[in-house]
Amino acid sequence: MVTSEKEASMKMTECMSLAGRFKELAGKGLVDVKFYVRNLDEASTEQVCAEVNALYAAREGGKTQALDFGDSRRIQA
Amino acid sequence: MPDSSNGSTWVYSAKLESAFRKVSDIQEFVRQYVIAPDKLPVSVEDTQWAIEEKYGFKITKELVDFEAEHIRGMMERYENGTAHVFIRQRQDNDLTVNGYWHRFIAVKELSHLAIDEKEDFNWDGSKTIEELIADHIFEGMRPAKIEIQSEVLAELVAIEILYPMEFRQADIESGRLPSDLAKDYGVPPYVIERALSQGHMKMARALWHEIGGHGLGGLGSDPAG
Repeated sequence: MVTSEKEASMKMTECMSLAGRFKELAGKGLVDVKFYVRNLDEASTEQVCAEVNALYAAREGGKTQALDFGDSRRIQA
Repeated sequence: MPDSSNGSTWVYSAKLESAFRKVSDIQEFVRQYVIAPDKLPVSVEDTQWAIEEKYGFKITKELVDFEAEHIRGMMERYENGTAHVFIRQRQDNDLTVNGYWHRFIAVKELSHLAIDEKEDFNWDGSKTIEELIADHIFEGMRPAKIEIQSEVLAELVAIEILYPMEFRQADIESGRLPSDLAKDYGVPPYVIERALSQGHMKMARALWHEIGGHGLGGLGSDPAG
């Protein structure tokens, strides 16, 4: 029982942590955030929150690169 | 007018038609400023540029290297008109298909910036995740909640942008496999299968007929020629 309460508390931390991040970003002008989540049937809220936290952690760790598909056919002025 | 279902959720007709009109607007805008607008695959960068110009955004896109089972990507929108799209680097073991997923996810997230209204906004992403997980299950004829509607619509818009309607009938008649067609359009085979499914084709035909104009080259164009 103690273990499951502890686990529940640990799981809550992911979404609480994420909520805190978005609150901070809202203070910097964030008005909307959207997600592309696959296999919603198999996902739990805590799992997805953890993954979004992992995304932000990766960005903060420099594991990111600007994406340009290089496929523009626009006529340059 | 049809509603749309992805098998588990339904969206309102008015929002669906409005979303398809945005696809038409974006295609038309791109068509005015690009060389060979009907050339495939559809350009993600030109689609982004059209959304930036038409709707007043400055958008960045990033590939992010992290492990996940469920999150393919996400988008942040700010009140000053900036927006950031983040895409998970590893989507598929096949490197080519992986790149196709990057294209599709990018356009899906960009589509939000064109179609979402203020009523669809929520800065509290943790709440959005909660709603997505809790409310995606179809219950009778109940329309999907705003969070789900927005996701379903953005995916439909991305499908229509990257796999334009005008090519589909010929593709069906060709008998080519989705995995083969996917290479022409630079999209995951999933997108081809979804676009060519009976339900999607019926809905898309009805909507494009009602909107009265479609395609990379516009009505009467011959994209194959």
